[in-house]
Amino acid sequence: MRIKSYVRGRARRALVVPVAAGALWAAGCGDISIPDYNRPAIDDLANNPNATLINAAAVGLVGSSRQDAANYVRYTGILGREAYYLDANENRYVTQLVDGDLDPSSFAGGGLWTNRYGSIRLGNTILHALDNLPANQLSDAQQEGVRGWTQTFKGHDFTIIGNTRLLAPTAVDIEPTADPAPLQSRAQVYAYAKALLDSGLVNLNAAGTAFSFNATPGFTQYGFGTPAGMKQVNRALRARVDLLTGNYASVLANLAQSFITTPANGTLETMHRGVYYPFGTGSGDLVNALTSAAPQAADTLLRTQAQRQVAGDTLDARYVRKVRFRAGGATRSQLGIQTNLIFSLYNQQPFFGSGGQASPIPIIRNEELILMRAEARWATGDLPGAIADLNYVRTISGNLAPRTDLTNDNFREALLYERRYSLMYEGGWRWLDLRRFGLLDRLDNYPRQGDYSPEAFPLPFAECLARGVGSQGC
Amino acid sequence: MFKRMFWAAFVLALFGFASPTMAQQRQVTGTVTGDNNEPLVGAEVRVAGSSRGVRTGSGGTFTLPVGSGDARIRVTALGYRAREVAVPAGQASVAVRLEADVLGLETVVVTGQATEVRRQNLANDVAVVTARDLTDRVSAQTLDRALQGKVAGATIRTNSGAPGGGAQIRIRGPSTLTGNATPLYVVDGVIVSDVAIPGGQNAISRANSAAGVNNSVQDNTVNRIADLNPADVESIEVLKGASAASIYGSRAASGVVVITTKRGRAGAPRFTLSQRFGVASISNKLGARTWTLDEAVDAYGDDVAEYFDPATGEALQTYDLEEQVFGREAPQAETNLSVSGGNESTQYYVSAVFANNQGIAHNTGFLRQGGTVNLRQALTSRVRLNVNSSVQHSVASRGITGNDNSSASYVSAIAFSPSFFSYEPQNGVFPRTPFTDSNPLETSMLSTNNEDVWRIIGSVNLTADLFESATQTLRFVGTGGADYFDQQNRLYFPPTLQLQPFGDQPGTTVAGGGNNLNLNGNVNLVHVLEPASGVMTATTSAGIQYEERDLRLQQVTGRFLLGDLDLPYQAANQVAFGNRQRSKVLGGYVQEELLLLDERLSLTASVRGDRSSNNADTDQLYFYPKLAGAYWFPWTNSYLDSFKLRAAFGASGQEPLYGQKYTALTTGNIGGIPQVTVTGNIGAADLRPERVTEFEGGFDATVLGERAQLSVTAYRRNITDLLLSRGLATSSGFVTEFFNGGELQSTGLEIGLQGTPIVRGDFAWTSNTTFSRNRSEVTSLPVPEFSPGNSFGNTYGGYRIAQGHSPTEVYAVNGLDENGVVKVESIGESEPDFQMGFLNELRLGRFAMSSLFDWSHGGLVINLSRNYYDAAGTAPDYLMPSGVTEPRDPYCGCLSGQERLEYEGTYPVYVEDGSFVKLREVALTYDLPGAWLGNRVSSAQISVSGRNLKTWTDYTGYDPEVSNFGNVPTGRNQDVTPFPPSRTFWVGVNLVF
Repeated sequence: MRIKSYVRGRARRALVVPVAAGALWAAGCGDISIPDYNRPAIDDLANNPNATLINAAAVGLVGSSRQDAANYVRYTGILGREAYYLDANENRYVTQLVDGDLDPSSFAGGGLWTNRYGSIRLGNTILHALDNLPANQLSDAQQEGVRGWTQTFKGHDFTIIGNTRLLAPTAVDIEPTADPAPLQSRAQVYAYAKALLDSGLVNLNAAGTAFSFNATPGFTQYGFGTPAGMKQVNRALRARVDLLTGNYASVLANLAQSFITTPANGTLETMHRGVYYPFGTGSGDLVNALTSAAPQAADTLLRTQAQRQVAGDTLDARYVRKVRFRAGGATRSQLGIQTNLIFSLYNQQPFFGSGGQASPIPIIRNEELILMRAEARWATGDLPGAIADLNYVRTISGNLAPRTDLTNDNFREALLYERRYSLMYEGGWRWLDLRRFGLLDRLDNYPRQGDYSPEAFPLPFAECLARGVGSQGC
Repeated sequence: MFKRMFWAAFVLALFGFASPTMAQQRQVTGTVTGDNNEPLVGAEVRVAGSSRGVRTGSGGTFTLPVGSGDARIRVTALGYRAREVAVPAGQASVAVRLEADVLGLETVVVTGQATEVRRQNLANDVAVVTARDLTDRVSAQTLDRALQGKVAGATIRTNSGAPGGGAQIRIRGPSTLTGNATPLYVVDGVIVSDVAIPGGQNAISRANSAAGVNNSVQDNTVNRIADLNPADVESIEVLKGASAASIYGSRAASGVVVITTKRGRAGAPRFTLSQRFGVASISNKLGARTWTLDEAVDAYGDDVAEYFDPATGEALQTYDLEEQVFGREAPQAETNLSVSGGNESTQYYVSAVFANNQGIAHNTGFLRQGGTVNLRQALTSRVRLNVNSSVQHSVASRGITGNDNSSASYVSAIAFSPSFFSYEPQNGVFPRTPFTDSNPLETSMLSTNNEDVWRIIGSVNLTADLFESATQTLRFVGTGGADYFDQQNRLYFPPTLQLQPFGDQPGTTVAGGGNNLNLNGNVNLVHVLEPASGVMTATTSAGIQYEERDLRLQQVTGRFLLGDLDLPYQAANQVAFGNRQRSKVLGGYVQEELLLLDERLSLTASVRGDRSSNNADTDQLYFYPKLAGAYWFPWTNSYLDSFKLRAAFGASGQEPLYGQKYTALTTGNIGGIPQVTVTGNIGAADLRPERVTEFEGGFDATVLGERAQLSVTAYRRNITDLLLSRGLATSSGFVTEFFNGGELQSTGLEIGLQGTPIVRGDFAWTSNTTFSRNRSEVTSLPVPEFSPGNSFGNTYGGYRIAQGHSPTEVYAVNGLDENGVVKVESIGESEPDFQMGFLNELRLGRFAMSSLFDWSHGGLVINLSRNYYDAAGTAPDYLMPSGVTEPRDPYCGCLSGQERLEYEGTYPVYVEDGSFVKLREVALTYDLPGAWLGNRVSSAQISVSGRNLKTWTDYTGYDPEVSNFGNVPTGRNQDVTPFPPSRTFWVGVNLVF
């Protein structure tokens, strides 16, 4: 079959140029845009929000704040020599965190930073979103609730940042591609955190009786999932920052408005009252990384330095609850560190719930508040009150005999002991306590000759590079 | 009047049309013979300028209708130089003798979607590898391994020694920093997928703590070009840069590999059978330390005394753990069958392959089964249809190797085990090792890790001659095709293993993988003008192309298994992930190719414009021009037979990856309550493709009576608007931003020397030697220097993008500065200084011997595996030599393990030189004499061959060719307990009947 050419002569000549041009033109028509199939856009939250998205973001503050929680407990636990992570495949848990020489370009030296600031960025985005929210989505009280919740979390995140670094930026609500925010000192970071918590309290006072979102399991467990409950949590967190900066009068004032309670027939449950980071094993949820895997190890001094209980020869009940021998009495060793102890805490002994990978990590709880009050009373001259609080914790949580021999001089050692065992492997308190009392050199040459515990983590490498400094620390 | 004539002549010169003339016809008969006067069957004879012709039959005879006046006929045959012969009016018969095409100058090279050029006229240095050099001599499991050492300018490196695929082809150095690092693959006109889908190994190895689909590049992934059967390939052309590949637009920045599968030939059905058997074994071991009683007790405590004889202080028994885990002599078998044939209007090629290649560790190996059908049919005298289809099935079991954080990786478990402890089972029970968290022999024998892929590639090509005259032809060429693959990964790690990455949820199983569909089509018009005077040939072509890719990934991980259930859907704890990536590209082009001055001068100009859905503005067209020329000099002297000068300039692009332009939130839930969190990546609002411009120039000189050719090519490539993922100050809440900026420049040199230098009677020596070198530099970087991810920090050695430096330089700690602070600086380059390939074949009568040596000089490798052995104290050179009490000079290259640990963090003790010479292929073949064959078999050949037989290197790890992170733009050459390399011996027979 012949395909005849019917177009002749000059018309044929004129055929070619449009055909060629048509090839390029045809390439220009048609819509080929494709959406993001996998995630919602941040523009939706910032510029075009609705109640559902705001609520999900508010819950997300817990989610992004908890990303770091396990690592925070683990790394600061190693710096405080309560714990070790002896992993053959990753020896930097020893060669950096135990040695003391932290490399800002690795996970050990540069960690505990990005996720916290991610949480702060989410918080700031929520605050902007509330400004762009259409009128009928959330009531004024509900909006204040979200604001209060957000400011409280931001304050908590900055506190954690201040705990780990000597320098950190605070004015980070800027364009992400602009010049990095200026570095502030640790004291300035704590001051900023206090201001955020106070501003959050003002919001919570106007927040009505309920939040618009479902507070997560770690908050609802002890009934803190309402504005009234969060106000108490807010004041507790504020008291903690005051303790870290040494403002003891302020500690007492804020604790009075928190959820601190010392009923006469107190139990372990009383001690556990508080708010927690929740974890879960469901699809899309996050598991508690402190529970799994053989490399986790506890320091042997926890055992040898534990006091004995009231009756018989048993060790401090807090030790018995939280630490045990490895299976078969095996010893785990790496690079000269040897220990046969492992934590039952989080695994078999959760604060609540069934344990395992859904085990929660405390944000702040009653036992810590009571110890804070003990310290503040001692520091402001109320020694009998301080001793009462200390013994309250000793007897209920540790099952130890109350101390009758305490004076202003030996109170500090007693306090350090109680805080060490009560708050073991919860939030780096061993390290923080020794540091704020200027006693970090007690950890020198432990467990091996040449080891020491540094004052702070270095500024992460990426942060240094972005500020134009490229060497191994800035 | 004059102006009109001038304009008409101008247009005619480029595009001219004229009405066809109906000339009178006569018949010309003749014969076509080859070098030694043997008749050539199937040679094509046509009137010069026409695309239609006849083929010679048996005896090499033909009959061709030509015009009644003086005529010129053109005769071509595969493997011979083309010839044009004048047939004056009145002459009715002609005898044509063709010369063998030793240098492959007649090979036709694809230069666009619808056009081809003879290699002789090519203005670019396009590498062509034919089936003969690909797998005819030595078998290779995948196509990329078959190409190693054979393409100048291409660095082809495997990522580990695991069976199956997993290799990276990098052409002329790094071509992007964050984009798609692999070339574009086109098979019979269909753009096929080369993605690498993580298989879910991360659920066991926990190498990447952020566990999600496509989040772990450390899953020892296989890029999907491994699915193609190398035995089906007729030829591969590698378009090395923008100056050659410009026509492919914004997918072509990393080069284009054009694959043509085998076609049928007219004639009686021809069967071929290739059957090979082989055995593979481990080719390099690291060794281990011998312990004394005191040393062992020091390191491990008193419990290990039971393994020692207290009298002598020696171990009761020493075990070679590498032998226990990787000591299998693994059998290999491969069968390839094909039949081809046809007549003048129909040609077919049908093939099947069955391959079973076992690996050196238990439960590892690579199986392949597949079939291909290629059909060519002339529907009418003017319309031709080609249909190519292929179905391939492969199963790859690669064990667990590479980086891990759970002691799952076989080599990392071996590293932490002292040599006095055995992994072998006693009475069927595997010992639990107290030294690490897994028994790798138990893991390899009792666990499953399979990647099962079905792949279907089909293409249809229609060519229609719309118009034809004595001087012009116009034809339509359309191609449409689809490439679909379905990858299923199944992992099963029973609860009885010592290895349990999540101790309180024993047993892990993963069902993962994904599927991908590539659809593409193009329509083209090609017009050829060949005036009777023969002054020129002008080919004008224009076309439109549409391409779509859709990749869906999914993975379900189940933990806490009961009994023998090995699917995740019954596990007590299940986690599901998934993800979809889709993109579309729409483009068009116009191209003009001119052959002038007796076909000695060729000029090409083209423009391509395309739009992609991955750009921020999907309506914006980006244009990529090209200009190229080549000229054969008319003079020759006694030394030089011909000399061709060529130069080419072209532009192409690299589109952003799917998702880079979005700034998104991450969803999740807390105990079932939905949450969104900030994800960490921002996409720039004006994200656009990278732009590559390349200038390439060179010459080809043929000598020795056209039996040898020297090619020299130099190129400079400039990439602007690089897609960069820059690290932000993480205090902003975000980690990275995707944006365009910066400039990368590569310059290099490629030299090839090929031919048959010695031919004496029965003896012939054919040689192909290539040399290439490339230097890259980031010439402009608008942001602070940053680490491109995928490394382990400066202590061991990492990478950094910095202005004035190559993007593949290794940065590491390098001593103390004057203040006692550790310096971090560039200590060298990870890409080789230069590479050479030596392919030689000696033929004497019926015997032939060929070899392929691959020499890579320079290039650093970061050897983290050595750090594992040092930290464990099991390195064979762990102890400081007696008499040495202080660590010696850190750069002496003589350090013991203890000294390296001392220096770790201050000196780059784990970065080593990765130069190597590898004997990649050796083959000995013998063609059986015709008398021994019956009358059914027309030829038979037996062969003995080997692959990867020997490596000469100073590198102390398994293999200097390694990449823990798989195929990445930068970040190769990191050695973290990979699968060891193996050598294979083959014995085989090829039959044609």
